[in-house]
Amino acid sequence: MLKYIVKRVLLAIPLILGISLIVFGLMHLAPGDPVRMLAGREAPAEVVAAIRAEWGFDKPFFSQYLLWLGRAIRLDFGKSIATNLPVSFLIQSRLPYTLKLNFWATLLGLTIAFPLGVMAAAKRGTWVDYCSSALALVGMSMPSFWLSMVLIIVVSVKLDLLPTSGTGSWLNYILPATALGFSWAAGLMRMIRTSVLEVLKEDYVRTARAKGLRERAVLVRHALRNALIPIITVLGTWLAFMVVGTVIVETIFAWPGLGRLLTTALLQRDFFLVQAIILMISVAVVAANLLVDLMYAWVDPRVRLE
Amino acid sequence: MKRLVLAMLALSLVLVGCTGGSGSDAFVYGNDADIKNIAPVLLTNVVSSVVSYQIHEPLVKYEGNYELQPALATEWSTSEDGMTWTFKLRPDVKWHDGEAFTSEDVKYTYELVLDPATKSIRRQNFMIIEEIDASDPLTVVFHLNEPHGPFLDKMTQIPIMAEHHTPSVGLDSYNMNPLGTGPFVFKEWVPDDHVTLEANPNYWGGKPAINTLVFKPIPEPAVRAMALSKGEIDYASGLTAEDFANLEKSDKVEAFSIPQLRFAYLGQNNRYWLFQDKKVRQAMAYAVDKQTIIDDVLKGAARPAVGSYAAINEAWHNPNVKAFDHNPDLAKQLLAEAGWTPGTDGVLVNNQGQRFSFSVLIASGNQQMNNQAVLLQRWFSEVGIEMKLEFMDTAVMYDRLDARDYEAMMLSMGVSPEPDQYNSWHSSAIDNGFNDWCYSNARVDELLEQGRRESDPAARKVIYDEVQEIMAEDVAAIWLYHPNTLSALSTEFTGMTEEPAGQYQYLYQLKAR
Amino acid sequence: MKTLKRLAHHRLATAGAIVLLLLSLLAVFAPFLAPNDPADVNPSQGLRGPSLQYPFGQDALGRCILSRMLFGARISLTVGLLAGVISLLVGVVMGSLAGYFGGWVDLLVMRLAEVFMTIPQFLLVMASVAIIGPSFNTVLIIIGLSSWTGYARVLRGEILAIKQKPFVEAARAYGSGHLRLLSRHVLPNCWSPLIVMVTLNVANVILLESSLSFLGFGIQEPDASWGSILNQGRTYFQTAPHIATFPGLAIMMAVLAFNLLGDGMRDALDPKLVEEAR
Repeated sequence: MLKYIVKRVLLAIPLILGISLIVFGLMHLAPGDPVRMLAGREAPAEVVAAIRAEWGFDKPFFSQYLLWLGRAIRLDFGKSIATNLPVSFLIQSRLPYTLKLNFWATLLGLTIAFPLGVMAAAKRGTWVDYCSSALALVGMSMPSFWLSMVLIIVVSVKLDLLPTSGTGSWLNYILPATALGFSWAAGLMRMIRTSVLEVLKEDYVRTARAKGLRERAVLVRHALRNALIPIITVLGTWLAFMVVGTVIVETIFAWPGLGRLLTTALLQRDFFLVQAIILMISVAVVAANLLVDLMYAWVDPRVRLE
Repeated sequence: MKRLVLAMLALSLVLVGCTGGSGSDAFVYGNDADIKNIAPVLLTNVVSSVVSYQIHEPLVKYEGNYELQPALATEWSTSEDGMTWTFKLRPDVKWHDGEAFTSEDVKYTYELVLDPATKSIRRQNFMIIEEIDASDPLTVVFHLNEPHGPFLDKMTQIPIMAEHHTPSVGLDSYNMNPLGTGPFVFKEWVPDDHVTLEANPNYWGGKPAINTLVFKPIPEPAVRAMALSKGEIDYASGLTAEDFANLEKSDKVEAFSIPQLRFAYLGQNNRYWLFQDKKVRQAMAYAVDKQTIIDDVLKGAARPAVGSYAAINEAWHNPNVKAFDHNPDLAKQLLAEAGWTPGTDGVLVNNQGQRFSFSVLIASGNQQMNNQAVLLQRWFSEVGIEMKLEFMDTAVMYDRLDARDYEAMMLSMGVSPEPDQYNSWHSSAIDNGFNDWCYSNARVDELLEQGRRESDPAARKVIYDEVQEIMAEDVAAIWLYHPNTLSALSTEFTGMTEEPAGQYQYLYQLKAR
Repeated sequence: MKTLKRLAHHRLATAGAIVLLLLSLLAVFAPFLAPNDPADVNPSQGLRGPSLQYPFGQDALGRCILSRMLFGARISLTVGLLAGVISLLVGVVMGSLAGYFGGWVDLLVMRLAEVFMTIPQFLLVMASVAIIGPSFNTVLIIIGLSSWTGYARVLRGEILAIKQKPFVEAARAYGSGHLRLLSRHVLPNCWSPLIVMVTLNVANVILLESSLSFLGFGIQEPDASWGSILNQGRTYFQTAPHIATFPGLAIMMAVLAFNLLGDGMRDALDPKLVEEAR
């Protein structure tokens, strides 16, 4: 097992390097000049030149990349071009908000998806199945900013139940967490349903049933437990999924998180900030995938031998 | 299972936490963006400036009208030759930490602006300063290297920073720990969430009635409007015309539509071959229906522009210039006179077979600009001109403008009440300034040079009147309108000043009703 | 034929297929069906709600939303389908290279695929479009180029499996060229999972385009996609909700239909296929 872990971790290194190169290269294809954005339209030429030199924008591509990589390894992502504040500070101040929001969105997603998914599978072909599947399909097909706006208009403005935006009390979490978690939950629910259905076809479930176990016991003790394994994979895509929602939901709900930071950074061509955020999220995805793989290997020893 | 639920609950309490609600005497100001850097020498955007001007104060200021008023300076005078400016400073002004404010702070601030290492975008404006004399604690003397009419106006641009405090904090992290003399004291900044200021009990003008001032960025305009009507915020700036009309009907808010000096335009690149002929430019101006943009896109929240000087700037505006009212027939006639005849696809062609087609740069993501661009495109096509829309984000657009690599662009530009627009229209500013239009006219150059050196208002008036006449006749740009800013204030509060000059609001007079 | 029959039995998939057919017909015959000229502006009638002449109401410039949506269907569906096809092509090329040649080519391609799969697609697309500048072609190409990895993996797996089979050895021995082998023996064996993936991918692309529109990076005026009309509506969400409602519903319907069809096809063609496309 240890050997397997070491191998997987080592394999992640070239992956992260590849990601960093793409992320860094991408921002350098940009026709917009970050220095001009930083200095503003009215900046005189010598100020522009001073800023360019300070940030190393006058050096060739690869030395810029190496410079940046060397510092990134030490978690020094430089300073935000727009605000002159350290990138690490900007990220640090946003990260807790994004994590909190995502935690609640995930929790919400799981509490919707699990019971509905299992029930839909257990009562296949009944109205429970149809209703929850319909809900899932609708959830997967809705543009998230549309859902967000509808939630604000209906729940916050028309019904006057919850605040429209911003942070503050726990009430502020409900709408953005719903907007963020709903479509993920929809996908997850379908996955759970399929997975449970497949397990229910297995021999051992049939045996359990034949033994005279009650349906509920069959479901919980045998089917659900085994159905969880493929679901681990879905949890791996969770992070990537949340990222999209985070960018949009945070902007609409004025949530002070990473997604909104990224949007503003991109519009201002805040190179170092965009690079750091994308790199960070990608590394998190690598870590999540690694974790999923290790969980797999732990659950199913055959994987290790591959 | 129960234990799990309990653990979840406990965790949820920890995670939600409590950021602390604002008290009842708090005023929450809803903005479209978060602050960038509020150090007075580094101000670049409106939001940062509004926040900064509550904490720091300039020597002189505009408030409520276009008259310069005393702030940290109580009186000022200039020498006969216009080379020396003397400011008497307000006595008994204390920094928020209790230290006394002196002329050394003023000297420090302006030297900071002038220091290339500061990278202030306003440095250029103050290069005329030769030396600053702070030998008397309550008098500061600026020695200039040439007479400069707009000098006093420029003194409003930089609020004063503390010499004993700023160097130890550093400009980069100034946002965490700013120190001023103004009516509000900085308390905390949670990026993208809020900035909190508290009333300065020792303010020389008296403690403000509002105890806590919170600035909250809400980027979505529709959400900002809804937050205001729900009472989550007390003031919303930058409203859309539609939300504004909606809020106007509410008796819970007072809506403000405040005229600005800013002007919006369709700027043709005056160096581009298509726009060389004055008749062509005039025809384009006639083709555009400004009034429809104002009435229908902006819902009346703007005034038609005939140049870069707004009519509300009464001291300097010249009302007797050529206004190009919508007249497509005249436009067609002028184009025909300029040698353009209808081609097979409805687009005009000249005698060399070239089509009258150009592309215009527009910032993407701005709904109002998009709508105007579509209308302009329609109007031009009616007279046989093809205008292609090229959307891009602001950063890319600025690059193209800087390189003068464009055929036309749509933008708006903020101007100060001071009539000197040398940096925008003088031909030397094409290569070395902000003459984005590449406008060049020898007579205008000459007048702009004179206007800068002149300090007698009556003489300057004559000069700038002529500048406006020539630029209107030349169609230096296709002037569209001067927009209003739309905002709304909860009726629970009064005392909001809305600054027509495009200067920043002062919030110290706010109070609960 | 058998699969088609099985697909026809799948009621939801049939429903999806019918909806898509209808939407495509609407898009193709937009010029005949549109009640008004989609570019015709009536600024004085901005933001008016549905009426007889304008069944879906008017946008901020008084243009007919129904007509704009009919023409917008062309753009939305084209972006979806073409981006799907581009990623399919890139995926097929990359997957074939990797599977067929193996060795360092395989290593390189699969590492690249891994990199692309790890950076969240939306971030990649959003950053690239912001950088290159928003336009129909940019959106199309970038979305297409960023979602090839799933196809490549499926194809590579298929080729690796087929390479072992005796008939390939035989064909090789008879001197069949690389391309011939690929087109004759490999592709016919894996077109079904690929088509399912394209279908599901198109649904994803339509949503992605609307998210891009949200950031102002989508289809730009005077053209319109459903996503861009929806985004325009967001400014007027409180004052004129009809602008966002109809394109929002249209997007939902199309995405739903593609999802249903994809699911049905998967059931009919290959029940074991893992959901790779999303």
